Amino acid sequence: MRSKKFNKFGRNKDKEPMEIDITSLLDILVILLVFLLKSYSASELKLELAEALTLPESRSEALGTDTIVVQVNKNRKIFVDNKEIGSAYGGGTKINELYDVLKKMKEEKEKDIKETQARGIASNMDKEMLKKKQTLLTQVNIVLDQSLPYDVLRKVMHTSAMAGFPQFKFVVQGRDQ
Amino acid sequence: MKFRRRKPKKMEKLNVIPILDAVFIFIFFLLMSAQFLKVYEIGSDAPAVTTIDDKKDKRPPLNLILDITDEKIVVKTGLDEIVYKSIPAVGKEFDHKTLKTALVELKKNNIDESSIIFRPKSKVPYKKIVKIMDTVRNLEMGKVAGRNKKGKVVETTTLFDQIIFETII
Repeated sequence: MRSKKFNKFGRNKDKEPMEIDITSLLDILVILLVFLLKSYSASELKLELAEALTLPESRSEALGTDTIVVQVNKNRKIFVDNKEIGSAYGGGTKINELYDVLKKMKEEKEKDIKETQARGIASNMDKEMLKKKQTLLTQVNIVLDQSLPYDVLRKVMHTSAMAGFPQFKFVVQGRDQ
Repeated sequence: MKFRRRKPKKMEKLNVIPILDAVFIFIFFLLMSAQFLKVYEIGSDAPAVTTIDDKKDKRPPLNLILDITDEKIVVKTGLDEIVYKSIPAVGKEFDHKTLKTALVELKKNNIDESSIIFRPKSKVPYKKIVKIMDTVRNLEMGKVAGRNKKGKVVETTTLFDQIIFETII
């Protein structure tokens, strides 16, 4: 026969509700938090490295800017904003595929700025946004594999400058890693 | 007198659930913004044509040039590109220490100058160019002092941080 101490669900009435000890979980979370805080980057540039690409190391501490990213990997394949557009083989000083893509992007950026100006600047935020867009209008991020010769870099820089991006930002890897 | 012993109070447990909630949200936010590869940038501009105002400064420009080949770095100065120093590579690496010493000397006498022109040969690897860029931009330790155009003593930790690649246009 069932004892009176137990209710119909078979639970002990006198016992207090069971508590889970979450101290160890909290410890793990704190460690995770510290680790993630350490790897937090305030950089605007969120880079997705292309395949077969190793960045050169540098002591630079300047944070990246969020603008067009041109990547050239070890096999000389060219990527613009993570989209493969061609390769940097062959003679000549200009890479035609890259020039066409950058020229188009430049026109789009200029159009966007004109549209923003036409809409009118209502707030300080709009003003800052427009200023930032104008600053980034001539900048390009260059991400090159460390083993590539200067010849490739020269071609990329020449093509970018011709397409209207004469300010180059070489993306490098921090030396502390 | 009779003492009545107090019944021991049951220790109250701290309610950590709200903290746990906050930590969880914070972790998700950090996971989204975490970048495990730390990337930085080095700036460089394409060469531009400017007019130098002769009235303002009668001193000849420094016009610092680095001719970079696989075997050596040649430091040239002046409009006539006079060789200031030729620094041969040591093994497979360039002699960055000697290069830095030469640049510090030049900076002392031209404290207002911040531009340097790079002229690498086609086959020089990008990795080596980045390393040279690091050497020419900043001093790791100490400061350089020199007199500026107005005659004032100026101290700086920057060497030549405006890098221009000559051969691109």
